[in-house]
Amino acid sequence: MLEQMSLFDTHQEDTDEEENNVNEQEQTDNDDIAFVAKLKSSRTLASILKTIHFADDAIFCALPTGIKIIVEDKQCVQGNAFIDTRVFDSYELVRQIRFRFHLETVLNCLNVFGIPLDPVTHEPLPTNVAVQIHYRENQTHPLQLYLEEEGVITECLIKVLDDTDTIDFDFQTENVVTKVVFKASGFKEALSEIDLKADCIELLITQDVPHFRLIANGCGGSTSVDINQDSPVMDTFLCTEPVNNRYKTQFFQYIVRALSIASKLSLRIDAAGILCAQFLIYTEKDKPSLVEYFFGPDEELNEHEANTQSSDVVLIED
Amino acid sequence: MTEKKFIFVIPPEHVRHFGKALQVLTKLGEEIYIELITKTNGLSFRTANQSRSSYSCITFYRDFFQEWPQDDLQKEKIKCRISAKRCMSAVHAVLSSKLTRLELVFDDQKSNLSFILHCRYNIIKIHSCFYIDCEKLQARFDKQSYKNCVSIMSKTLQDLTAHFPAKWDEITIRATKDQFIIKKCDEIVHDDESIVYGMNFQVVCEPREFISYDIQYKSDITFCLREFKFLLGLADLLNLPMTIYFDSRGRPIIFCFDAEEFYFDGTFVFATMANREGETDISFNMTQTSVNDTSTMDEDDLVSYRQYTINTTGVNRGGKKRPAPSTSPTLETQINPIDEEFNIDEDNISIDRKQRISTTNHKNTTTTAFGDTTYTVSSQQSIVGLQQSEDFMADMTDDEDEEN
Repeated sequence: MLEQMSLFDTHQEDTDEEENNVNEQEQTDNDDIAFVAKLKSSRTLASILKTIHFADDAIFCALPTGIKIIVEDKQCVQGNAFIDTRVFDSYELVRQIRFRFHLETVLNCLNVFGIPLDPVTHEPLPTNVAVQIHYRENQTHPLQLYLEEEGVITECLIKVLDDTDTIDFDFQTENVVTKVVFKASGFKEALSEIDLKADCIELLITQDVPHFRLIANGCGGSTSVDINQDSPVMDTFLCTEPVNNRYKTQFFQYIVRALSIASKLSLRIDAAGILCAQFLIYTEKDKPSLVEYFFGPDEELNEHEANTQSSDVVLIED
Repeated sequence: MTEKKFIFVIPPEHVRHFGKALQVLTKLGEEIYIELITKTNGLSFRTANQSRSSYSCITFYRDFFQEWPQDDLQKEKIKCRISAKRCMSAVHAVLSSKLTRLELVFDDQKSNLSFILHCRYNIIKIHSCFYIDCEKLQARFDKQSYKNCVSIMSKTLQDLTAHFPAKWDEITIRATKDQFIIKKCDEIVHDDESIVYGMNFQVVCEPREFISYDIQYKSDITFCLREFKFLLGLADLLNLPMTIYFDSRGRPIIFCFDAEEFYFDGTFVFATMANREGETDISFNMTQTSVNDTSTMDEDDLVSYRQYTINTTGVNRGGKKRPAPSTSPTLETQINPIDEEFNIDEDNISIDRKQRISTTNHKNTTTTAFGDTTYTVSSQQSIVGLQQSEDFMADMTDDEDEEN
């Protein structure tokens, strides 16, 4: 039973609950609710999900420590988002759940009240939209999202899909060859001019100068960024052996996207050449959220000799 | 060239000028030709557009740079060209970051030109592009032979033409001893002799706007507006006296500026439209012989002057149009502006006027009675220019010719 009515006299339905003011304690009469989470600002969840939105589907896991969302691209990229329980205003987990869902649909629902943009910076502004996530154990029931802004409530019922396996990159944390931690804003500035139309990005990390170098080889020339160890942008630098790998440019586009909301970025490469990029994202609460990417190195391109020394290059139209 | 590296270092106070100047060049042509001139101790960047109807050259002198290649290295010169597109991305980086230092490194061994940008936070960005050795790009023109020469502050010129919409293809200058009119081309005559009245406006300036004003030949010339606007893009950064040489139709118009305190200068040559009958003086002559080039161009010596876009009334201008060579021709090219189908010479108008607008005489403005609706810009800017030019003006008859 509901204790308070919201400003508008909302329609009561038989099976689904009414959404009220977010701070109100919800009482359910249905026993197989497996998971309920409440968040005062849907922007938090939406912006984190946006950074890993590079595929259609995502896996949703609700764990005792928080929620984890996994997105994979067939081309061997995996993006994970971790949102700790303490970020949520309320987090109730009955059983661990895991299902697959259509990411774009959920993002559209979270943004159903629109995304106001700052007129100057064109960054999304914080909003007053609260969200509640409900999920029942039975997979035939849809995922329920309730969004509320100033008394207007939107109920979203999203079908869930069958769970699938996810790639285990087997990132050897004990065998990390190099680790570099950057301040996100400074690193974003460094990447701003990198040519993202190139096929691949070459990463060079050595103990000598230049300590960290990103090279993008395009048609007719190349662009590179060197960041020295003593740059204020670099917080930590560890390198046991020199690394020179190539990764698909597409992956770096994801990195740039995540940099907009992150405070810190950590890049780790293990002995197999797998790159793990982790972003620390602070929202309103003190507890940060984490987004991480795993990229495999581009084997074919490593062998490919980028022979751009021919004189025809300058005359070719891009 | 031998296996050496030529390093030029630009101090932070000149970086913006370098970036802006190069940005203008990247817009005016497809390839940028670079040459180190030992005689005048300058590094020049030149470009010409695809149809070879415009030529631009900006030269940076020794004092512009903080560091300059050693004297003994200058025995081997730099003569090469790079893609304007690659240069554009490097220039964009130069203009958008705060730099502590900018280096240009010509690496002969790899045929590579690198722009090394030292940004803040100890970040170094390197944009490199490949260059091709070639002969220099040189346009032949003789500034001294022009009958008309005026000099005006570039910002004033920019203000006067700022409101000319970019979609207009050309701009016309009509200059007499008493006034200097900048306007759009007049009415377009269709094939069936019908006239189209379009909206038009003009800016009328008095000689007082100019720093120097020497008109000996009543001129009426038309040239490409788009490129002219690119050229004026430099005016945002530097407000310099710009000298304009021009005279008869068909003869190119030359814009020169000399930023003495910044140690660089520029010359821009734009072809102008010829009369219908093709009466023109010998115009533009561009020499570009390339020894290393393997292109097999068998075109004639004459490459037609090609307008960029068709007029705004939708009529297709005829005239000879031959696609301009996109690679450097092996032969000496000589450009003659093509014959256009219509003649803008005001003395020859033989069509009936349906309308006449009443001429009103404001102070500092006049309207011309041609039959189309002419919107006259009352020269508010004239007054501004007047105040500025009063500082510079000594004697109106003084001719301040720029020395080459």
